[in-house]
Amino acid sequence: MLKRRGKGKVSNDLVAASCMAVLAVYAAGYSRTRDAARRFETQAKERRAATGARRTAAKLTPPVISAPAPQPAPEYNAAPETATARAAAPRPSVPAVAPKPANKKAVVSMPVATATATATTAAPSPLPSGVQEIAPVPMPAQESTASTPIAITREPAATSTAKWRDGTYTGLGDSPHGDIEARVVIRDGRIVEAGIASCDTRYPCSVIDPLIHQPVDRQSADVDYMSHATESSDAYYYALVAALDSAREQSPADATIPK
Amino acid sequence: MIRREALMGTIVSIEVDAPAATANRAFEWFRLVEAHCSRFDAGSELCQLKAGRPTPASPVLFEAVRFALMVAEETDGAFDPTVGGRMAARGFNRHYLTREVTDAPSTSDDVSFRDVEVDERERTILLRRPLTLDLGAVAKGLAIDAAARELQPFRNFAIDAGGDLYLSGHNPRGELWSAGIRHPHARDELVDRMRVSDRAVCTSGTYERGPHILDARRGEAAVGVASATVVAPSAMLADALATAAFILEPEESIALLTRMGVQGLIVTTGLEHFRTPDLCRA
Repeated sequence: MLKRRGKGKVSNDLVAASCMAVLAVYAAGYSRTRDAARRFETQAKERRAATGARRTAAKLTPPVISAPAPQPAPEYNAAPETATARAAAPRPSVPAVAPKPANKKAVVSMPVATATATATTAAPSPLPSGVQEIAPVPMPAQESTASTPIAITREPAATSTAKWRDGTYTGLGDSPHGDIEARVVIRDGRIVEAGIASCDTRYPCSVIDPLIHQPVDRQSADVDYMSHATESSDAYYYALVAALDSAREQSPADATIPK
Repeated sequence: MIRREALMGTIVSIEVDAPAATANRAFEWFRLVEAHCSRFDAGSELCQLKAGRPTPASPVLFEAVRFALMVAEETDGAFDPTVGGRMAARGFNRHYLTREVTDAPSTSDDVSFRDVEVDERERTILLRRPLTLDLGAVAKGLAIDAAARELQPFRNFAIDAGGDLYLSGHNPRGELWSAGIRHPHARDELVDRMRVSDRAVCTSGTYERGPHILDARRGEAAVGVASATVVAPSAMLADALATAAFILEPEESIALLTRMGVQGLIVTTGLEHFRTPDLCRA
């Protein structure tokens, strides 16, 4: 039934043909996926910046005494939040601090493209020399500053310089399937406790149990993604960002900080 | 870190220790290939092909069609990308996300891959008769391979597109990747397990989507084989050969795979196992 080949003609043609086809397609599509990935990054960064600003602004709406009036928060841009965009939205892999709309000098550390993502399961693998070649081009800061009052730089906000005031703080993070409220306890300027204050996600919050104490180890909001629970991980992360932002020194939200 | 997205009618997950942007680029290949090769999307390049005139094709579509025709030729039509019209007639005509039904041109029952011609020099595709190409097996494989190419600098990674895998390097524990072959009748059981590295592992079976593989030569759904798994250097090849192996008699399949220099395991509906001699079992 099958085509018989003459003896000696080993039919490895298909193996070679498939490899050549992949190379041809890869070469042809390379620039397009690069551009698409870059656009995607831009959207995701803007979305996250806007989300962070919105949350901080929301926290400021209660009485803010003797603080400069908050600048208008950028509209939350829900448009790019498609199912796929949400699933793969990149997250800052450096310690992040939420933007402070009232303070023009606020520096938001945005995803650093070349930073190695933290893996929940994978052992660190050496990055070969080719990594540089495919590392995405860093975002130009102007694109985001044009549409928002937030200064975006690629400088990581070093955790050691984060000045948190002692106390207990909470913050809210949302996900398509519900909100997570995170609670952090700061003592001597360090995160000594982190946890979930309340959870109304559709899935039990236990799915992100392994992430709960990471803020204590890392002294930042930068928790890993949990596979199968990326949106809950994201919600927890944003909740932590909001909580830590409340804890920052010189926060204009002083009056609202729970003691 | 594992990331997932719904793409190409399935859930694609990528496990790699790499920046999110790199994973995004890998996922982008699935969108790109789908935009060109989906028969469920009226806007895809594939759906723009009309019978009777050579149509210039993008590299993605051209390579996918050319390769599909090569496999069809090699398997003497057991694998045939022109079954699209007849698949649609059996109800496989809905887009997986929108659930929209795609209108396929009415197709004679006797169309075959021989009614499709590619011109290497002009890079055109000619459908001699009205027919719908189904590049499912090849296109998904191609997307996996391109994504794998994208992730190559990271050495250790796994791409899983609805059970079709590409496993590179080693797993997070530093061992060869282990790929289990699910039992055709018992969801949580495995019939076999193999150790692989730098290989694609693709399985054709009826467990996820029911009898969806059409034997073009007989014009009816293939029966007899419960699952056919192929381990090959590229997912495009593994997927296409797994489809062919699902249709062929197991002995024929094993002979074909051996001749190709790739490995495979075929499980019949009676749970009989056929393996290529060099299959590396765990």
